[in-house]
Amino acid sequence: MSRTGALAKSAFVSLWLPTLCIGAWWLLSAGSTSSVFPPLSEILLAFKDDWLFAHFTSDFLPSARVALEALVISLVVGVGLGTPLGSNATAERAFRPLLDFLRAIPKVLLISPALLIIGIGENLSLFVLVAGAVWPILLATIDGVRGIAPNLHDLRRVYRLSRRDWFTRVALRAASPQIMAGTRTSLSLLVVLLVDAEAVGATRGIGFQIRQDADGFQFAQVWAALFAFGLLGYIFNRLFRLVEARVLGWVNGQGATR
Amino acid sequence: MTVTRTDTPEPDTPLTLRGKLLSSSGLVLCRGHLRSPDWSVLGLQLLVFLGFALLWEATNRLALLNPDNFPSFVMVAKRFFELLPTSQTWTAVASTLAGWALGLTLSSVVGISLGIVIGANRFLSQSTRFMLDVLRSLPAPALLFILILALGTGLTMKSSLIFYAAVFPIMIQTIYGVGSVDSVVADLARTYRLSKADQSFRVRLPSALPFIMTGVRVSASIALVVGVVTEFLGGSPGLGRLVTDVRRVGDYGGMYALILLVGLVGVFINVLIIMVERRLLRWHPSHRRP
Repeated sequence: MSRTGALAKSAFVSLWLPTLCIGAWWLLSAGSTSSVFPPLSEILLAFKDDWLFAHFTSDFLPSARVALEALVISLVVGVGLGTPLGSNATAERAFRPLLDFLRAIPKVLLISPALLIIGIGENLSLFVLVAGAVWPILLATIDGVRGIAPNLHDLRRVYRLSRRDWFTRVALRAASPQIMAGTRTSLSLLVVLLVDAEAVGATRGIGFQIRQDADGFQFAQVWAALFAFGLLGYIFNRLFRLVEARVLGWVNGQGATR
Repeated sequence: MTVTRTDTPEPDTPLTLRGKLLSSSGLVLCRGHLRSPDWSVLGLQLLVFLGFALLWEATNRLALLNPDNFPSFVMVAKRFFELLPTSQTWTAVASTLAGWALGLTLSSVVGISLGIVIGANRFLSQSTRFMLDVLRSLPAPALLFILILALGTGLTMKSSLIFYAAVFPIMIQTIYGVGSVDSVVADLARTYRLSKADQSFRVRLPSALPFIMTGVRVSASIALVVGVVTEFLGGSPGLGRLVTDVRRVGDYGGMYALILLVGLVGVFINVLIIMVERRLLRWHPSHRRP
């Protein structure tokens, strides 16, 4: 089969089911008078009206920005705490139960004390997002640093690498596949927590919008906001893949021995 | 423990899982009973918890955070033990766990069965991949708003949302697991002309079981979190709602105590699933004694 033929075939296989489902949704909901499940056409119209581009700058971008800020903070904290923990086996075992316990607390609940201590606004969202997103990164960093090949440790001793050189030039690079995997998990977690935090304690954002729409019984708009979240997640995923390719380019690049 | 998710999900292989379980705790479970624990590690772990409590207490006493809103650890501990025996607390725990159990069971049944069917067939796996990716990435709390409008705030709504959130990790892991059957073993089954049913249930399913259990473990925590979300955001009866209720009457110590309680429930669930996993996978090479 030709190259384009093979490409077309794989595209068809991947897309026939989603297309069929969307088509079925459209048809089945077309004459819908149910309020909670309005016609797909109406939902798409609401999406166009709301998110392209009326609320784009006022809600979509602020949400995206908060999420990205939270990601950066989570990376700093996660890698910062995870590296020493990963390097020291005793410390890691000592902290493990506490970490497991704290991690098991659903971060939604942190909104409650945060409302008291921080109050409504972006800082609350930031706090909740960081509190949630730091965990996958922290744990991945610990795993990554712990799993650094013994040869590299020997290398460290042979070259008498300083602590700084070791961490910045060798260890983090070696642990980066794990850290990137954790970051990917964090990214999807961020979108979920964004809904939680903004629905309760924000004055703008996609989550704020969806809350408003739900309270006002604007069903089509609620669906549209749900799509907006999906879109946000998709954009983050795409951006992440670009960054990942850049950061982890070296992983598959060393094909010399293969 | 992490199951690091990538686009084609890389599940914890049973070997890495076992390594993590054994190496990261002072208590070592060996063939179902406790070996004599590593006392020094246990001591350090207790020290860490103590340090956490001290940090909390210091934050309150030194007023690093407003002490009106951030009660002392001692106060929180006191409230914890006061709230623990009340029927209000246990009703809430029961509501939360009911939704959790129902949603998780449904998602396991559907996820595993669909996963086996899809995983065994290449065309189906490729057809569903995109859809599963898209559906999986719709955040459950956003869906909550629609479900509340459609189904109210009762057990039906809670377990439906939990089902939605928990089914995808299980299904994806099952598909992955079924697809990872050792090709030699699969060929062997075919050579011996085992029936299709036998091939599915006596070869593919056991081989995929470690992956499936990883999926169940991940989904179990997701299920709890989503349940708490429906309670906290949506007002469904349960621990999440109790936290808000308690906050509204100004019992901040109780609020923190309940948050910690939910954490304990989460840890308990995790331990439960790990125990089930060990039992089910006793025969697997990765779970045999080192």
